[in-house]
Amino acid sequence: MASEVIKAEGIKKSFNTGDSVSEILKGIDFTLTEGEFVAIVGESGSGKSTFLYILAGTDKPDEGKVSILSKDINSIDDNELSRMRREDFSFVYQSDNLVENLTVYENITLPLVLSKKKESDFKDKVLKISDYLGIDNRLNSYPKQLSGGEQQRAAIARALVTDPKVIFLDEPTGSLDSVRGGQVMELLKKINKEFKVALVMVTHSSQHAAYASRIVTMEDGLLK
Amino acid sequence: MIKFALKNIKSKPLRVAGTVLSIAVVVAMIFCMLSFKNAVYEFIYASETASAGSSDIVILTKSDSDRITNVSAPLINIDGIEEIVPSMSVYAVLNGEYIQIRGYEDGKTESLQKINYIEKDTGNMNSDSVIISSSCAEHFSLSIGDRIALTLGSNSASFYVYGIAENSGYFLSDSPFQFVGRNNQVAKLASGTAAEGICNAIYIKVSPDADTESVMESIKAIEAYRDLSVEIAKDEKYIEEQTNSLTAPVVLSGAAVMALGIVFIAILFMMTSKEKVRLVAKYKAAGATNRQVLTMFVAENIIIAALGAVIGSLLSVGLFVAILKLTLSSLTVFSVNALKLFGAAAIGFIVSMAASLVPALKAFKGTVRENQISTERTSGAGILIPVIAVILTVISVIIEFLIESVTAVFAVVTMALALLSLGICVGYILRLTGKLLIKSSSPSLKYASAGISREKRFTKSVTLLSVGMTVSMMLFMAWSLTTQIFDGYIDNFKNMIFISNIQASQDIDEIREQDLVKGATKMVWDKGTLKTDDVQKNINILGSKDVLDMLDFKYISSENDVKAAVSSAQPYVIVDIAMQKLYGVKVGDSIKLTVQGIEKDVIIGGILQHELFSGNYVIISSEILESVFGIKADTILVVSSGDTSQCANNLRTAFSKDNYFVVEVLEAFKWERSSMDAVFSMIGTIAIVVALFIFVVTVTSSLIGRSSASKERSAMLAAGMSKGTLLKTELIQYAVTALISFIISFAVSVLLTSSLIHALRLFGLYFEFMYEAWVVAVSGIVMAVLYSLVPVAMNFKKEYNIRKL
Repeated sequence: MASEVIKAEGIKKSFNTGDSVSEILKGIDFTLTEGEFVAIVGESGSGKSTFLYILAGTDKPDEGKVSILSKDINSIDDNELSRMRREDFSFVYQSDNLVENLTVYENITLPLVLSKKKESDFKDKVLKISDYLGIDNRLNSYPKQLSGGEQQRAAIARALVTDPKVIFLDEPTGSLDSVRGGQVMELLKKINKEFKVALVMVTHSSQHAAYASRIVTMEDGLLK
Repeated sequence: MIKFALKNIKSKPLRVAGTVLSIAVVVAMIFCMLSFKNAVYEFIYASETASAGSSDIVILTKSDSDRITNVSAPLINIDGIEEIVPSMSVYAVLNGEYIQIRGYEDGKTESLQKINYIEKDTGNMNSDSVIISSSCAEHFSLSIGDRIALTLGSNSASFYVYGIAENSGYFLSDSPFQFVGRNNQVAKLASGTAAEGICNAIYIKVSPDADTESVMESIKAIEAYRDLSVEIAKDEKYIEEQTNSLTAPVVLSGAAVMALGIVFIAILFMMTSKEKVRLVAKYKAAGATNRQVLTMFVAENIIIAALGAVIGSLLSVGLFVAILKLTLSSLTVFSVNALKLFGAAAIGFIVSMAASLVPALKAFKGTVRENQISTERTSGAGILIPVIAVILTVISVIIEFLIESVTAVFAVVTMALALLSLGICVGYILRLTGKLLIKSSSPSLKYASAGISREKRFTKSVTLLSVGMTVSMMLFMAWSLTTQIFDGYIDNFKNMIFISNIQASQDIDEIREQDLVKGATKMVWDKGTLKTDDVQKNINILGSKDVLDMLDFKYISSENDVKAAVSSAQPYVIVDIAMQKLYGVKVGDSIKLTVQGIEKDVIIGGILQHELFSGNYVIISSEILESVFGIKADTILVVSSGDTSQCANNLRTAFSKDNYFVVEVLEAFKWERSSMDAVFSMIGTIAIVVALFIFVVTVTSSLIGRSSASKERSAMLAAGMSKGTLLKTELIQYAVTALISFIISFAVSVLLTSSLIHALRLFGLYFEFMYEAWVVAVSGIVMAVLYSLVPVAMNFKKEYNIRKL
């Protein structure tokens, strides 16, 4: 039986919308197992992205607990959470993932450099992943010089380079046209299979959600 | 992380350059404000000690016509005297113009001051040699070896030009032109026969280990010097007071400039806070720890802050010395205080470092998600803070105006609170204006208003501009006040003439009978010291009751009481209302007055008001001076009824046989006037430079803020806005910011000027309210117009680019 990578219990989150408080997540339980590819779908404003950020530890729940690899990510310190981001899981946003003043190569290797790893230890791997993702000829370019699809592939390369157990993806095809969006989804499915990395993806596209092994729907603040 | 810090620097070279320049400019601003007072002090010190030089005590005759014949012998047995330098000084005439010739004994010409020769004779000085300044040589067309004849009454003596020196030391003021020669030849000019051992001043250098006061007391006790005046050669307290009176308004404004400099740097870094917070989010998402992010920020900003501090230090020294040399004197050596330079650079560096870390620390408080969308949190305090600031300001103003004993202190509090309230409130006013204009149907006005009412960078810009504009207005106002104060009372002297070197028996009516003489009085015109229980202050002595009729005094006490008091046999003095306001003295109080080293108790007999010497004078009758202090009137003050120069010439002709020194008061004060003009130029130049700095930093920070909003502009273009409309939108944003700043600053400047004048009491200066609206308006309008034109001047349209989206 595949082991549990993420376990979320009773996740609640509210937002102050000026005059009233809106409860967007109403006590969600969620589990992700090793190598699983889960798509979270739902209407705009349903809270699916908020849930994803809470799972990834980039936002905090009002109530509930999130464990990644059996560690409660809301009770560990900044150093440990940062280490986990560099080694255990990574994140790909809809856009604006890359640091503008770093080259694509520097962006991809950023988590490795932050982990103080030697370039000689990871250079081949970076080139291999870049080649795999088709951006090996853009490594010396800056993000601004890349197309939207290339930027997303560079972000995925950065997410992959640390050999994470799980990658969180927030509308990874949201800023791409349907052709490039489809290419990225094919790529993600391939990565999921070949690298055995678990994926949690938020999307509003049922077509793209179909690439996942499990689809959950966010509705009325709960997963169905 | 240092690699990433360097990347950050390299990626925004213009922004980094702007930030470094702004820090450098703020450092220079702070240094100028810390140092200019000391420069004025050094300048006045050099002027005031031009004749006394390195001496510590000076023994003078009480009358110009008196001579000291017993020069050195009585001093030989006094302990603590290092050197005795007798000097004979008289006014003489060369080519119809007054000059002053100062003689020293052989070998002692440079005992008091070093003479910086430009050119001199190859041989040694002889008894008839004189040294003159380069400006004197140019004025009289003299060169080395020229023979000149100086006359004094019916006496005449021949001299030859031995050396031409720089206008420093003895020749710093050179008003009238100074001639330095030998005592015996000067004595010959004065008395008709060359004589050794005669002088009218003895300068004494005290040994470093001796106490000057004790040496002075020993000299005063010498029977042979009973009728002489023994004084401190370098009256540092007087020089300090003079410096304070000239610099106080700008010193007070300077405190605001320094505070503004700190705020400038802080806001400069806050301008890109949103962008920095987003950057932190990216690094955090990639797994960077808080420590790593902080290390990157520290490394990046250490380089920027250090560069700013170093360039600022160089700019400070270069600029400041250049201003001093241009405005004060190219020959006075001004010291650059290393501690102040270090202090200014350290303030710039530390504030920059602290401010640069704020975005990172702010980001650490939020989650990565919050930082990614970078929602700028508004303070929960909302409108409460501006309301509290305004209420505190109003309370301070009420106390300042109602409780006179704390007026000066609360004036400073009011100034600080008014600037703080301005800084806090003006952003709200701009936002409110934006909200009102947003309903406009004009697209450019509508979107300009949306920007100014919603984007924090405009709030920051309007805060910087309005506070900067107000401080600049204050600086110009302070400069204008200083100039007005001194120009005001100098004007009173324009129809007055001094006659000195008079004979005791001179009948004053004989003077009054001369053509163009409206009035004349025999008086003592000197400096003294006024002492109450709490304060000791240098003061100008107007030793004649007749001055009451010669100057246009406003009577605070009744005219009858004042005139009765000054005509009384009792030792009454009349003081200015400034003394009452500053030190709380009142009619009937007994105070101590020291004139020519003699201290006596006198009674305040009345209060007047006049801008003369900024109110720093006492009027005492010549009869009381003679009977109580033993000081005889040695000067005649003449008021002319017409052409003052003609009147002076008439008097010179009429009394040519008596060797009287007749000079227009404005001529006698020429050096004081020109030195004051130099100080005013220096203060004015500093005000202009600092205002320029303030403007440069304001514009730079607004451009830095703008650079982080290129996506918003691209979005506008993408939505179909034309480049022309976008430029119009930005022009409106800059113009509205400038207009709001100007209106608010102009209003606040009235309160600040009033408080500035009250705060001057802390420096012993009392003035009624003076406000030059045009000075404030011009300085504000110039800044506002220039700021409004920034979008055109910087050619914003050129970089409008939809691809930035």
